[in-house]
Formats: sequence, structure tokens, C-alpha cells
Amino acid sequence: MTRNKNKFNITPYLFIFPVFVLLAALVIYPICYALYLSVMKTNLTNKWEFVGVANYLSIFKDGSMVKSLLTTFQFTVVVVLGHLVLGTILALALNKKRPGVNAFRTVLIIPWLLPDVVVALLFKWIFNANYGVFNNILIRLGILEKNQAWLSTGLAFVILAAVCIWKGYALIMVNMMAGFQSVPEDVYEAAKLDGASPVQTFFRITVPMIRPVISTAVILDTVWWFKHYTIIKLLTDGGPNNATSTVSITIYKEAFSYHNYGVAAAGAGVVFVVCWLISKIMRRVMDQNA
Amino acid sequence: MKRKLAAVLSVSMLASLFSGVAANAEEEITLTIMSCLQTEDEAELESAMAEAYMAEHPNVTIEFISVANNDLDAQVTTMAASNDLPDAFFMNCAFMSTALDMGIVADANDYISDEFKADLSEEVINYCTLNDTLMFIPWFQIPVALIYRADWLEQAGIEKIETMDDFREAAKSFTEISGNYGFSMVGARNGSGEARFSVYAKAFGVDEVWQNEDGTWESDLTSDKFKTALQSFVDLDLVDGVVPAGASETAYQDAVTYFANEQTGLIISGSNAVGAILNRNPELAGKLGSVPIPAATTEEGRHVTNLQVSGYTITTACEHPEEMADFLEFMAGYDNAVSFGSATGRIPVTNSALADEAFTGSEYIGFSECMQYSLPYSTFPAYAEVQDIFGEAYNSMLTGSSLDDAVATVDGRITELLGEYNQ
Repeated sequence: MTRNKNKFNITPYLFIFPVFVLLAALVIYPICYALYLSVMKTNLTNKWEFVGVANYLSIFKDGSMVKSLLTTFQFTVVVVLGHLVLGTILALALNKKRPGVNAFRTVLIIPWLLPDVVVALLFKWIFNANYGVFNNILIRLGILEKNQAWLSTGLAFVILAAVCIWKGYALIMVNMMAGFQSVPEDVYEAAKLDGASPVQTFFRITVPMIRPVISTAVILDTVWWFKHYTIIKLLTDGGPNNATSTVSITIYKEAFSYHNYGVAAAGAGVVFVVCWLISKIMRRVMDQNA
Repeated sequence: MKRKLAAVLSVSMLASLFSGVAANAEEEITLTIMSCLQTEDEAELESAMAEAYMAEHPNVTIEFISVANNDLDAQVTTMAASNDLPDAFFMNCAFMSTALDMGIVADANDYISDEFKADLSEEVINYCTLNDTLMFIPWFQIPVALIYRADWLEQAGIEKIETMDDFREAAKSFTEISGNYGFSMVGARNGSGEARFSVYAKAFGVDEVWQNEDGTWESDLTSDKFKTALQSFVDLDLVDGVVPAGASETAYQDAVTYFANEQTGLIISGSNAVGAILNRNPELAGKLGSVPIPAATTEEGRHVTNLQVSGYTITTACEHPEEMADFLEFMAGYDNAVSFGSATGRIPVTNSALADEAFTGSEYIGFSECMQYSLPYSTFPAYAEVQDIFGEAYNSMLTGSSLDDAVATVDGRITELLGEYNQ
């Protein structure tokens, strides 16, 4: 009996070995390499000077990186809240058994299926100052007198957030719909018999029962939009006047425009820690509420 | 027996040696070239030149790697970091000092033929040279000048655009004539917009960054002349209203489209814009003119241009640099350069091809004239960041920042940057 307990069994290790190799190559190695870069002053080929935490300190000394971190928080909060509200409303609407609801489900998921590049270019044209359909409609309606450069005004952040909400609400919607369908019908019937209103039923029964689904979807959505790059780059490129310059844009510029790879890697390290903290905090809050 | 065996072995070794020489003579060579032109209108023309060269040299295969110009520097850097460099890559001027610093550039002086070099002007050679290294084999140049609608200028009764005041006057007149706007401003905060603003500011006597006698880097970006240039530039949009709406978002392609659609009649650009405009609207043939960038009517005002000489850098990873240089000279040779230049507006670099009648039309006169005003490209290692600093300045003013706020940001950034390199 004791002999069997001490006998080394290689089988489970063989099963996890391929996944471990993949993880090491695609996740662990890049993270370690980025950490290594973040403590170096380097041009990636023939100059490798160890600078300790100087790159991290320069991030916090340099106002632009801190400002872009704040912009990123702002952007992420607005977009994720937008997704949550819009996704939940649409999921509630689609959760009813009505004729044509399947067609709506298909149509409403389309923005999510479109590539980021397509969405960015689509809205760039819609809001184009001289040829954009948005200006054209407003001028025809008599609301505007002449063309307006929407993406160069203070409204650029709002437009960007609106586009990103439109692009990503479907993730929350789909998860919410799946969550709603997992709540047993008899719980609703019991609530109805007890005289609960639809609002009470939603907040007192549905939400607590699907909290794990909401938690997972919100964490995924938050991390996804915190590090988002493509739509911002193509739609506003961080402008006007850095109003939409999120941390991803700043890091990319630091690396590939200014060739400061160490500082860029340090910025990426900070984003990594922030994303990890976000998921930890959100998970803890959700678990406590549960 | 042993002697016979030795003799047979010797003969067979000699035979294999000679067969090796014969094989070397026919050695198959593959040249990989990272090209941004492959993603642009010029792709077919460039590929045709490669086909023609391969027909003449059957043992050579040329393979292009297509990369958009905006991604080129990043792509080269990542390939260098992974020891996977192509044999040559298209060199963007702003990347020159970084590439040299990375040790990935083979000095083209070692491979360029004397005959070819003798046909290049001193300005062109200076432009391509950094720390005595010929950074790339020059292929074409796109000097920056002012392109205008010659028929509108005549209609406006303006004789010639010589100064910035003339330019402003022409922009206002063209706005009335077109019923839209006068000047296609590239106000986007990117390399293309920044390169244009750079020559505009230099016309006011601004030197963005230079090294003084004791080797310290200095800059004019906090000077009064820079403030004057900056205010003058954005006023074209904010005060005079001669620029299409959304100037801060307008990229080169948009600006060319406005001009080609006859919504504007002035554009600060390289000579390639002539080809781009005529490709979009052939009816404008014969209606275009060009002059050197107007000089500011200030004490230090001057005509100026950036030659924007372009070509391919042979990398240190290239195993056949002589063959690569031969192909690059073939592309820049008289016949290819003239036909490529007439189709695209990318002017030849060799004096012989430049003298061809294809480049003496009114649309090219300004580009020929402005070459005498060229300045060497900056050798400051972080010049790309300097460009971004003044790019941020004009872009932020176009979207509502005051001159004082914009200059304060410039001051903070340039002081920190120069401080870093002056340590």
C-alpha cells in the first residue's frame, strides 16, 4: 500500500506537457522577455544597458504616461458600463418568446462579429468632416450650417466610447442571455406568487443567481477594453490633443515611434499589473456579494 | 597501386574543384527586399523592374516583402531583434540614425559603382550619408515644394508665389475661386504632416535641432521664430478659413483628394503628389504649377526644402551585397528612373536622368528650383520624437489649444529630450 503511494506516476505529467510547452512559449516567455526589456536601455540589437527600475520611474515622472493611464481608466469604465447597460437591456428584450426574436438575436450580434479595423474605418467615414454621412444628415435636417470635424472636437472621446460600446455590447448580451436561461422557471413562478414586481424579480432573483456569469463577463470585458488599441488608433489616433490617448497608444508610440523599448516594456508591465489587479479586485467584490 | 590511387584521387579532387567554380558561376541567388511601395500604386512598376532585372540575370530571384510605410520601421526592428533581417529594406529618413545605431546597415559606399556615384549630386550624397556611412543606394527623390493651380493663380491675378504673404493671399483667392477652400493642409499628427510642417517652419528660419561646436544639442522649438511659424500655420485654418474642415485629421491622401477634386488649389508636398493628383484627375494636366516653399517675410525667412531622397538600405545580413547593389543601381539607372519618375512624380536622383525633358514641365519647375535650398537631414538620434513634439504642437492648436499651452508642452518635452542626449 505504502509502496503504491510513493510510486511516481508520469502519466499526468505527460498529459499536461504539451499544454505546458505551449504556455511557456506563448505566455511565460513573452512576459519574462518584456520584464527583462523593462529594466534595460536597449535598441534590441547591439545595445543592452541595465538601468534597474529607471524605466518604471520615468513612466511615473513623465506626465503623458500617467495621463494616458487615467484616460484609459475613464475609457474602460465608460465602455464597460455601456456594455453592461445596453447588453442587459437587449438580453432582457431578447429573452422573451416572441415572433422574430431569433432574427433580432442574429442581427444584434453582428457588430461583435465585425473586425475592429472594419468598425474603425466605417465610423471614420461616417464622421469624416467633409464627406461624412453624419454631417450630411445634420445639414439636411437644418441642425448644422456647415461641416463639423467631430473627431477633432471635445466630443471625440464620447464618439470613440459610443463606437466601442456599439462594437462590444454583444459579449455581455450573449452571456446575460445564457445566464437568464439558466435560472429555473419555477423560481420566477414562486416570486410571482409572492407578489414580486418584475423589477424586484430582476434585482432580487435574477441578478444574484447569475452573478458568476456577470462577474466573468465583466472581468473579461474590462481587461479587453483596458488594453484596446485598434479602434482607437484608427479612429482618433489618440487625438485630439491626446484626449483619447490610452495607454496602449502611448506604449506603441514609445516603442515604435521613439524606439524607447525599455520604457515601452515598463509601460506594458504596469498595464499587466493593473489588469491583474482589476481582475483580482472584481473577483473578490463579486464573491463577497455572492 | 597507391600512386595510381593517389593520381585518381587528385584528378577527381581537381574535377570537383572546377565543377564547384562552374557551379558558383551559375549560383542561384535570392534577394529579399522589404518594400513599402509594394503596398502602394507603384507596386506594379517596381515589380516590373525586378522582372526585367531577373530576365537579364536568370540566376537571381528577387522577392519583395510588402509592408505599409507606417509599419516599416517597427517591422525592421522586430526582424532585426529576431535575426531575421531581409537583404534590403526601404529606408525612411526618420529611421536612419536609429538603424545605424542598431548596426544593421551595410555601408553602401563599399558596393556602389564609381560610375553611378559620379552621376549623383553632392546634395543627394550628403542626404544619404550619416557618420560617413552611405545609408542607402538612392533611387528617387521627392523634394518638398508648393504645388498650385496655375490657371487659378492667373485668374487671381497673382504673378508668382514667392513669400508666405503671397501664399496666404493665393490661398484666400483660391478659396473664392473654388467656392470651397484654398489650401490642402495635412494637419494630422503623423510623419507625413510633420515633414510638411517642418519645411514650413524652416522657411521662418527655424532649425529644429542642431549640434553646436562643443557637441551639445540645441533647438529652436522654443524660439520666437518657431512661435511665429506655428501661429502662422494654424491661422490658415483658424483665422483665414482657407483649409478644409477637420484639418487636424487630414492625412496626405485626403489632402491630395481635395486638390484632385478641385476643392483646393494649393498643397505643400513632395513631387510624387503631382503623379497622385493627375492619376486621380487627369483633366488637371497642364493646369499645375510648382514653386519652392515660399520664404517667410521675417528677418530669417528663407526658401527651403527637404529632398526626401529615398532608396533601399542593404542590411548587414545580406549575403550578396554586390548583386543587391547592382539591382538597386539598375532601378535608379536612366531608363528606369525616367519612366518611373514620369509615371509617379518621384524624381530621379542621377543628374543625367534629372535632365530629361520629362521633368522640365511647369508642374516640376518648382521641384527643380528648390533643390538648391535643400538642407541635410537631421542627425539627431531621436529626430522622430522631435517631429512628434512639433506635430503635437500644431495638431493641438488646430483642435483648440492656445499658443502658450502648445509652446509650454513643446518646451517641456524638448528640454527633457535634449537633456537626455546632452548628458
